[in-house]
Amino acid sequence: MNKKNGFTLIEIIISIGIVSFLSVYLLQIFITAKNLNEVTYDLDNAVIVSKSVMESLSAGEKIGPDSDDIILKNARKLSDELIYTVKLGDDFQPVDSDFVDSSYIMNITLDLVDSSELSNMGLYNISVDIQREKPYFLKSSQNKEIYALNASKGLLLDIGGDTSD
Amino acid sequence: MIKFKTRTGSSSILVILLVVTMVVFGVLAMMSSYSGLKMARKTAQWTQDYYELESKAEIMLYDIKNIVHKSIVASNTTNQDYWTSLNRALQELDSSEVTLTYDSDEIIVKGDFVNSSGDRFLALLTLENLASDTDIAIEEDLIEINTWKLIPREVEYEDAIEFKDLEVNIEND
Repeated sequence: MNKKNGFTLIEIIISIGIVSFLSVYLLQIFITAKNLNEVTYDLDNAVIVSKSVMESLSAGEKIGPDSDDIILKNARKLSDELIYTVKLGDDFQPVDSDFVDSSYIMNITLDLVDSSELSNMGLYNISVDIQREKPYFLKSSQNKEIYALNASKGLLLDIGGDTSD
Repeated sequence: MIKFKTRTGSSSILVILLVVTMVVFGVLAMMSSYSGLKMARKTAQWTQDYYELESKAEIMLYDIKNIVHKSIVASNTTNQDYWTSLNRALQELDSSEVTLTYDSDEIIVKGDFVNSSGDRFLALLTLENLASDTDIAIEEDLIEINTWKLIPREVEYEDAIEFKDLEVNIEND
């Protein structure tokens, strides 16, 4: 009687064959879903952070250690021009890249289009772009741009900080 | 209850059921992820559109601020000169997007900016004629922003899921 119970070796081999054949496609579906979730997370956060920077600058926050905005406070000047970079962690908060691996890089570029000495104001073209440093799961492309936001704003002429690496 | 004569092949049925279940969950996961991504992309696009239109209004505001400052300097701090100078200088801004309404007490500047997607940005500013000469010193009060907002286009909801679009996007990512 016991001989009739359970699975035969042939059945198990066939089952394993079917599972291994279909699991390739199944895994692709799950990996795609995981990557799509990550792309959504990155894009949502990049939009929030970019908007936050844009509004802080609009409200008159200066870039540099004196700023109340945590991202602008951690911005480092790259060159003599008004180009700043901020290293962001997994949670889109600024990190000290000397101690913690950063996941994203935010570049803030201020381009002075027109200035008025009378009002001490300048018209700036502001560009904020966020790049992902690490590739997505099973993908190879690094430093992929997630989001870029451009705007023109009238800001104070001394908006740029004096921090530099 | 159905009684089978033999149990041969039952393991294959179990495996097929398992695979079908996983495929269903996988497709559901991908559909929900993709609809989330579509919403995120829409928000990102709206934000870009907003700042594109707001930039035009910001340029208008910057020009008005400069005109006000120039008028103050040119007026020798007398109210009449300031108002005359301001009236004259503001005429430069009059265009298809920026309209000016002059009054004895105030000037209303209306900026109505439209982009290619059909979104409108409305900026309404009021420049008041000052009651006394001393008020000219208070520059912050010279320009009053009454309206500063985006009027979005009508949104059409699409229920259909476009899988062909998904393929392209995954490859790009």
